[in-house]
Amino acid sequence: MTSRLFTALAATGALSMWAPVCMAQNSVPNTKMSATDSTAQERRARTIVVSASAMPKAISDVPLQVKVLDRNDIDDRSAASLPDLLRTEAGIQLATDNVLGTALSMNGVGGENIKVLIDGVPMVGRLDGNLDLTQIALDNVERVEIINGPMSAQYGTNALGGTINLVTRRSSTTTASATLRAESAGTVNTLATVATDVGPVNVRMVGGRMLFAGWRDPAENRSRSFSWRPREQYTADADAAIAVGSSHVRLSTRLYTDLILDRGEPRQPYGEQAFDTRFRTTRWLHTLVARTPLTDSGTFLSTTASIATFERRRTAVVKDLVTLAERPTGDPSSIDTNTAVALTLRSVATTHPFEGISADVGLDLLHESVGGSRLRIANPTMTDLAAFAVADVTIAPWLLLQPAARWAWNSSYGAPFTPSLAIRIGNESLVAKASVSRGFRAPSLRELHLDFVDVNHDIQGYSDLAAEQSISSRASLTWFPDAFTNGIMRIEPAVFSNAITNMITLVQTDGTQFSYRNVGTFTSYGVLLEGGLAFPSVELTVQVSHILRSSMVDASLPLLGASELAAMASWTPDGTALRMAASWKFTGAVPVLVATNDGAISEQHIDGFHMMDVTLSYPVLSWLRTSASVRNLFDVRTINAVNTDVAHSGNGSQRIAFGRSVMLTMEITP
Amino acid sequence: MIPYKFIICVIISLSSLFFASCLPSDEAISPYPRGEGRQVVLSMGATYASVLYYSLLDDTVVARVPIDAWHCAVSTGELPVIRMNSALVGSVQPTTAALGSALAVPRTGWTFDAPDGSATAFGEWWKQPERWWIVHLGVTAHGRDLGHRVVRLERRPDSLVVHIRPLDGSKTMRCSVPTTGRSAWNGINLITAMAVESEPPRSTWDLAAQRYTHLFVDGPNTTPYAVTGILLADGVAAQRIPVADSITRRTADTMTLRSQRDIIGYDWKSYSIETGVFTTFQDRRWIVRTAAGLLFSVQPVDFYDEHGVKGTITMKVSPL
Repeated sequence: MTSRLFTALAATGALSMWAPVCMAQNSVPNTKMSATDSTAQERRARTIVVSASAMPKAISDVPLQVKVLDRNDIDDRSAASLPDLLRTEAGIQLATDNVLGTALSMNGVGGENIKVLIDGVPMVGRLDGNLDLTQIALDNVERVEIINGPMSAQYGTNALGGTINLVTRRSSTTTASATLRAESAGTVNTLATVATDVGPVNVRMVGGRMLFAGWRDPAENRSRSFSWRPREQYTADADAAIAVGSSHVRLSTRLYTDLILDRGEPRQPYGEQAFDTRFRTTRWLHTLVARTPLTDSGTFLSTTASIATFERRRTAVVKDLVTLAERPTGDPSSIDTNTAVALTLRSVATTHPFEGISADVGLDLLHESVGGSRLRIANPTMTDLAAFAVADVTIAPWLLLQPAARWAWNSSYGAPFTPSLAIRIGNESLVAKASVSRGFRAPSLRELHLDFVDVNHDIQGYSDLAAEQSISSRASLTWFPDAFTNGIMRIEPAVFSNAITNMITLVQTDGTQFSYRNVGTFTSYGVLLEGGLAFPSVELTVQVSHILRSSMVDASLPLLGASELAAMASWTPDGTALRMAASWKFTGAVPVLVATNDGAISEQHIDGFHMMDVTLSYPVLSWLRTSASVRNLFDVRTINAVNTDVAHSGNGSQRIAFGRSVMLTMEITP
Repeated sequence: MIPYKFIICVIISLSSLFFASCLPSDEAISPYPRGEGRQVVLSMGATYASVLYYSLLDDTVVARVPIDAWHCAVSTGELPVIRMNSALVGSVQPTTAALGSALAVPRTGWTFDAPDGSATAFGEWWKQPERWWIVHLGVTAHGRDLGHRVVRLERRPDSLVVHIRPLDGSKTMRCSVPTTGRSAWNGINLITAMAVESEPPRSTWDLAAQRYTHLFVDGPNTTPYAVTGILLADGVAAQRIPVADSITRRTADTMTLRSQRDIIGYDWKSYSIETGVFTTFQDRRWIVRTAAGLLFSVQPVDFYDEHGVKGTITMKVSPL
């Protein structure tokens, strides 16, 4: 069904895309920001960042190293979800699990040490420590802000390795749009947006469906199951914004549902039955944001209140392939539900107490609870109350200091004092940034209260866990050498180090029992180099990274290094609105330490691989923009990986992506 | 104002894509024709809470014994060999600590019975009759730890006397177990200090469907892990042959069969972490010779019952 649909859409899309190019190139209005209007470098230089402080600031004025991937970047990479966007970024690694989803690490650290925010509100519902990034669709996202290094002083727990904030699209006028996307691998996405004014209230509603019909590697000899599971996602967002006097209030509700269908192979010996498992995830996020001027001198109070809920239900059934009837399995473990609820209240006052000094002073309240079958107590809760302050001290036009600190109380563990200091030196053509930060990661409620006991497992939470703590240093330089008269060159080297102590690690506490303890240490060091060239019609960005990590098994073992090389290029031929973009990344071999048969430690490698996407986009009509992409050009599917598991089966390969595919996108905007 | 035609266009496009795309579905298949040979179903339960003793000749489950009914057993042969309850992942180690005060549980040094029956954790215990042993009783079907006991074994002419103390040394119990009888092994419950029947009389059963401890060897490390499969009774022997090979009693008689206890074992199936499902290899069968000399072809074909509950071993059994 999907392939037929794709063929039809492909034919339509191809015709509609190319015909006007030949007929009337200049008569087609460009609905997309043209390269002649603004190069990527200029865009970035004036990009406004909202994550790094309560008040939006230009990226060049923020003393932290921030990267913004805007709508152009999202479109250039035909990114439907966050992993699509990040998979060709150097320094960011993605790991895909067919059931738990896609997790990421940055700066050498990952899992629970990366904070993900949607419009400043933390996402909840981590599975095995990770958020499934595939659940973050980008069609309604205006830009993605990536803050490298800890932001624990501002955002508390989990912001130890980095913070990713997704800023959703806004509209102040009456608009409507629709996005249709189909990919040869089996993806069909539809999204519709309507925004209008209802009296004084600006209302925006977004509804979408993302369907992936599943993909199987022909080499894997599957008849019914898929190496990449089918999934069906629905999103519904509603925003209402109103100005009350000089205050602005925005109320939003977001619903996300996700169904992953895990179809089993027909079971031997007769092939008449199969085990199917459904993973249904439901997320609700209700947010109220209010921004009120307190004085005429620029003092504002920004308040965000939110309720986020998460439910993931796993249901296993036996499918009779003769009658097609389904029935629940008799296994009590075949149905499992995990839930999480988080209430947040964040209030930040932005003030200018003295000339050259602005400060954000805020209170953060987080109350969360989780539910599920493998907990020692039902619905354990945790409350965190914190006060924080961030000051921007402008000593001279070329010198900015940003001290920050966070004091917190937590109902479950001793929350650490978290200071940081960042400095920005330079002018428009040369900016140096450096920061030293403390970060922390709170023990999760599952790590505190887990009770997972079955035939072969006895894993217990530990209620006396302390927070993981880190000290991170980072320095970067952004230099715009005056090398071209009609273009901009940018060179941006950065170095960083992370030292994490008190890492929460699963250890054997008894003959058969495992539990979490604060015993691990971890260090990572890295060098990142990004260079960019931007001319009126051509943009090129090259990234190189080399990251050294300590072994998770034994921090005293030698550091393990891995390199990545990435490049993004776009070209808008003069006189046309056609835009061509390509992004490529080479992920170098990743060393892994394993124990050999004689008890020694040996270094083995996970293979390196290339990932490349190419996109052509063109506004066919004033209300229709089309794009065609070839994704995963090198057709990378799996790579060889180290497998040291002795008790379970495994084939020693790591899944990277489904094969090469073609994606067509149509954006309809009146 | 949004143009009317535009709205119609969008609605038609979205609707057509919405209704034309869907998750994959199945087409019904025809039932698979069943082959010859009897189907034997041994259901241990989803948590493998029982050991099922099966007779090939009588085609019956002779006994169903809960795995936590006993903790160790003594043989009724010439030497009183002690076997741990492998289904509980029980283990043992000698101790020289003073028994007057509470003993700490050692973190290392635990030994397990060899799954093939070639060695036991207690070994030749009778050579050190005054030695005390710390016994880890193992874990139940639900994974709960049963704790530890300290024992000393005393050999008598027709019995074994077991002195049992908790780790804190608060009291000592005594249990006498016969080293003779119809069964190959007589069980001991170290919690109640009572002799119990751990298995049916010898020669009444041939195969046991049960959870047991396999020792995975990885270099110098040995990892005990609870697996589930088929073990042979004492006196029974078997050899694996490909399913495709035709076999007659005459050819089977010429084969060298081995009395290795776990020769059928657990790995006629594999477990996928990714899908959480056991898959039975369909290319493996065994020629089994009972203690009475009868020959059977045994082929495990499934590990689930019709309701999808794991722990149900289905075998094709054909007498030769």
